[in-house]
Amino acid sequence: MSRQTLGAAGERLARGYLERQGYTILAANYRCRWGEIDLVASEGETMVFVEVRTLRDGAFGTPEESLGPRKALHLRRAAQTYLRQHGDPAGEWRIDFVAVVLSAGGVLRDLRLLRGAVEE
Amino acid sequence: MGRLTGKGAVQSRDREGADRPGRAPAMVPDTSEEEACLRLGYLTVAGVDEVGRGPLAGPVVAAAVVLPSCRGAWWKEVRDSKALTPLARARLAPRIEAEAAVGVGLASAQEIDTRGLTQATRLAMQRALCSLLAPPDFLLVDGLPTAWLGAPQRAIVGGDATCLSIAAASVVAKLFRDRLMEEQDRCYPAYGFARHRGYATPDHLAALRSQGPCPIHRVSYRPVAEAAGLLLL
Repeated sequence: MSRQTLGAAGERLARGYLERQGYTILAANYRCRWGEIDLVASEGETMVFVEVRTLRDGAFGTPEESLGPRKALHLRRAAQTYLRQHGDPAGEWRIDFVAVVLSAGGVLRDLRLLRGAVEE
Repeated sequence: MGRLTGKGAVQSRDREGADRPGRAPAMVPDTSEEEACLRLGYLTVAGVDEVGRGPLAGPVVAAAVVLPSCRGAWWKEVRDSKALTPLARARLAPRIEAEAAVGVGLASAQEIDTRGLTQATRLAMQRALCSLLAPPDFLLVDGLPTAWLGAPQRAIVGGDATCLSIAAASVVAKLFRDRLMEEQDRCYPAYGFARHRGYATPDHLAALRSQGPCPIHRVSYRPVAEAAGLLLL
């Protein structure tokens, strides 16, 4: 199981979970010069940018630990770029984090949603 | 004694499971049902199938399989257990067990006799689901709708041929039951369980008539009851 298929599997799961939570998914894998945003969604009036991290069970550390300050900065920049291009830069927005843990074989073990994971 | 279901006398379903020449090629199961569940927000979806409703002896065995989130190389080889040879099943099952989450449960011949086949099958399915590491949040069950099994479910008639996780469950359950009956053959060697796994073959019926039933026979099934002299017509 390559890194890409692992990531794609995690994104599919995160997408299903968020839609059930009432999010509307607007875009996936949005790319700009600051990097990639895994999922762009809206929850009510708020734009939500979602970073999905997928780890295999027993891998070192937790998905939450793998999000460093540099990635956080790039996520904020990318979110602002998306808002300038597609939305309302003055509106409400936040960045959520979805941690997906799969077993060694790839079966879902745990999925955690952190709302507002990256501080503005 | 338990009710007489009259089943088991002629059960052609699942007798051998070998690919017979002249048969239409087996359907290739896919994951469209699992994907539909995921879109509804059900993240862990278990396919559930049962084997061994027809035989005159041994338990009914159910298996539950939660497929991994990433496509495995073995997916394309999975078929309904009846469309695979015993060798193909024996090769496939360990690969399913290595990557998917698998639970197996059974209900004994006594439970079939006292509760009836439908309840016993449900019990085996519940036990299979309990033996999964984590409870699934949606079930795809082969056949007709069953009673509540602990999660919302969708019953799919012929699901063992069309739905990948049900097909995988059918392979695991079939192999588990076959192995179990081979072991039972050592405890009760007079009947030939290793050959027919408890199904009503002519030699099984002959042994049943000459030896009488053993503790793993389903006395609520007509041929067993007749052999035991319990049925007075």
